[in-house]
Amino acid sequence: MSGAAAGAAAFVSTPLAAQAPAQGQPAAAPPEAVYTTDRPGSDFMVDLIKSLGFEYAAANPGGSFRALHESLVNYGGNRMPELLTCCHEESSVAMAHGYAKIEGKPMLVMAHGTVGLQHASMAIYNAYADRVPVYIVLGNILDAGWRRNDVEWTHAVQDAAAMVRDCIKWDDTPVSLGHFAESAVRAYKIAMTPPMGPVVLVADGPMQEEAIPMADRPRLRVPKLTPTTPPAGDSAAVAELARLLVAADNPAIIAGRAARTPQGLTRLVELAELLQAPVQDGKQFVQRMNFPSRHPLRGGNVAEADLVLGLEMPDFFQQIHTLTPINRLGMESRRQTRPGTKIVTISSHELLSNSNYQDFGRYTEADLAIVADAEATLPSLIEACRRLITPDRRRLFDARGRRLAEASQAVRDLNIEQAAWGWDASPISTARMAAELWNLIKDEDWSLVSDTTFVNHWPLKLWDLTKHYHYIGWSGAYGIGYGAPAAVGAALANKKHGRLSVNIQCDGDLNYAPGVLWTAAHHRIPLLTVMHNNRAYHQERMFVADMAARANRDVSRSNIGNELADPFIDYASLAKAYGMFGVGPIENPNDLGPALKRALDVVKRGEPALVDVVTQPR
Amino acid sequence: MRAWGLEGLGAWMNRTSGCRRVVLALFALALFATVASADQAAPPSAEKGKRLYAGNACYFCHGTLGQGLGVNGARIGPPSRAVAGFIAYVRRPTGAMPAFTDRILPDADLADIYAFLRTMPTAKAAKDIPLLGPLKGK
Repeated sequence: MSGAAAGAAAFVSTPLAAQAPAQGQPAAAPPEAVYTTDRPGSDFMVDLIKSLGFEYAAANPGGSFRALHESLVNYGGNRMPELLTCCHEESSVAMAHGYAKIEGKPMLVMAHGTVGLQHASMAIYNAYADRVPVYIVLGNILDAGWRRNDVEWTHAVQDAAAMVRDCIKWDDTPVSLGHFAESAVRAYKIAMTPPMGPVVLVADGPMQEEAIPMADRPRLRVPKLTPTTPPAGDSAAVAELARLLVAADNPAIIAGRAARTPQGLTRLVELAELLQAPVQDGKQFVQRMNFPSRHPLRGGNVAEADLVLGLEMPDFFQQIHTLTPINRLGMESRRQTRPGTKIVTISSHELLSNSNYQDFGRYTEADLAIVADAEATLPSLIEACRRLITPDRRRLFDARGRRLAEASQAVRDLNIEQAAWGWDASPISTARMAAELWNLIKDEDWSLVSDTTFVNHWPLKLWDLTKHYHYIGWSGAYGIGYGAPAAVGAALANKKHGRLSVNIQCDGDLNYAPGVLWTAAHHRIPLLTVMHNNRAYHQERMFVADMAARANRDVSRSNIGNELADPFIDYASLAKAYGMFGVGPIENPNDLGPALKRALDVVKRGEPALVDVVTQPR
Repeated sequence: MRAWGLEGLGAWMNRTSGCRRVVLALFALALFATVASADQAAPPSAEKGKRLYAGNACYFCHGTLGQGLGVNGARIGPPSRAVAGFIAYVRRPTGAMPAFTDRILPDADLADIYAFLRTMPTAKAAKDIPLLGPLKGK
């Protein structure tokens, strides 16, 4: 017998106790073990989860957290949190991402420590780059002796969180229930401390499934959660910034993830009005709902500014430099500001930077960089500015405000004239789609739960956005596949407030994990999904066309590998297959309004609905 | 190809003699007629331009009517510049647009695209569109 075979034989041999029958007695077969427990460890995990106030737990079911799953639905009563049946772990995390942007707190996500996390990883990176809290519990069987079969071996991992450690804020692998208790509360606290981010907690399989040892039961307790106050700017630096702002003749404010909460929006409006300073979003992506879309101080021109203040703006460098076009590789970016313009930032970005993922962008040469949470710093900045404003400065500010209001109105009117171009086009223009939608929702309590980048930001140009929940911002890291599940998660958060959730849904994005439509139907999540169906991965199509032109080759072939055609995808039928209302494809712009109205009526009854609109590329 | 003007043709004939001059003159006239006819044979075709506009991915950035797609591509239908300026811009664009050389789009093709874009409608005033008019001034 070889050594290996001998080892295997030893491994499967009968336990020693059973090998020794009592003297004079025939050897009896050991009684079959019947294993029950009144108190598995996963019940205590549910106690902890409930203490943290989760409303929902999103999961694609997985054997490595089966005990926790069972405890949630039976011991926990499937309430606070309620389980959401997801068809993909990427959907689970992106739903949590969208939910947090409306609700301001994390959703619980459960997944396998291996294959589930592998599915979830892109969505986790989006949430990390977007500084959004997501609370992830991974199932894993660490003890090799506990793994029963091949599946439990292939689904086990030494260090479950390792795969995503570079794009989360914190993780832990507790080895006892007491340890789990502290880490569960600590994880929540860390996720919710600005800059926020995803956290991972590994729930060991045996710890979930084994009975809580009797000796431990009196000792186990749920630690108290003490929310952390966000880091506000250093008082001396804030005073210096106030001095610069009040002295500036043409300040410009660029807001990225500045308004984490509705209070952030209110404070930013207060600062802008106090100084009569303009506020704009970033050039490419609109990160958050920071400032009302029709406010007279919306706008401003960096090139004319003598001070530019960036608030939680990732890659601030881009905001004050020209972009290098894709077809001009090697071209130096040119600074857009005038010589001598003061560059100032308030950002918590430096408080959460990992080396591997490069979401921190280019280095910005600032005159003053305040490392702090912008929203938390705004109250002291406003007060500091207020104290410095003299009657002379007030007169100057008021005159500046009047000029800015005129310019802002001119830009809005120009946008409306531009929306008229291609008004009757088929495929339907994205401006027409936005205008038709606005006509139907403008008198509702609505919430746009999708990004606007791929529709030329038309909703932000045409709609009257005033409230924080009017827009959830973009994905954070351009990880496509975020849109549909984030919209479902945000719509779920809006549901209890009775808000009408609207999702302008890119076709390519939906096809990553369309099963989230079923999740919306199953959980009766009211959501109006309007397809921006340009029948292509259009950004990539433009890139490949650029490359073909650069290479002096056939541009027409840039559709290969990028088009979603032949056959066209029938999204209305897809929606119906998942159990929700679907209509389309709508190609004639005159049919769009009535189709949207039909779908809206369904959503108002508390269900999801989808309208497939064949659109211009952007 | 060098252009053959009538003055150039006359000066060349003055330097040549006798019946050879006649033969060469006939040959030159035939050649001139061929070149002239080639120049005039293909007036720009909006129909062909429509196919070229679609086939060369122009609509990716400018929209199917040339109406413009915001930051992705400017409005070019109907064109605001003359055909020569249009062609010159395509050859040496500024900003993010890639240059299209005559290997991809010869001048004649660009002239066809230009002809197509000239047939594109201008926009109505926003005030005349019921969904847009009320948004003005707000």
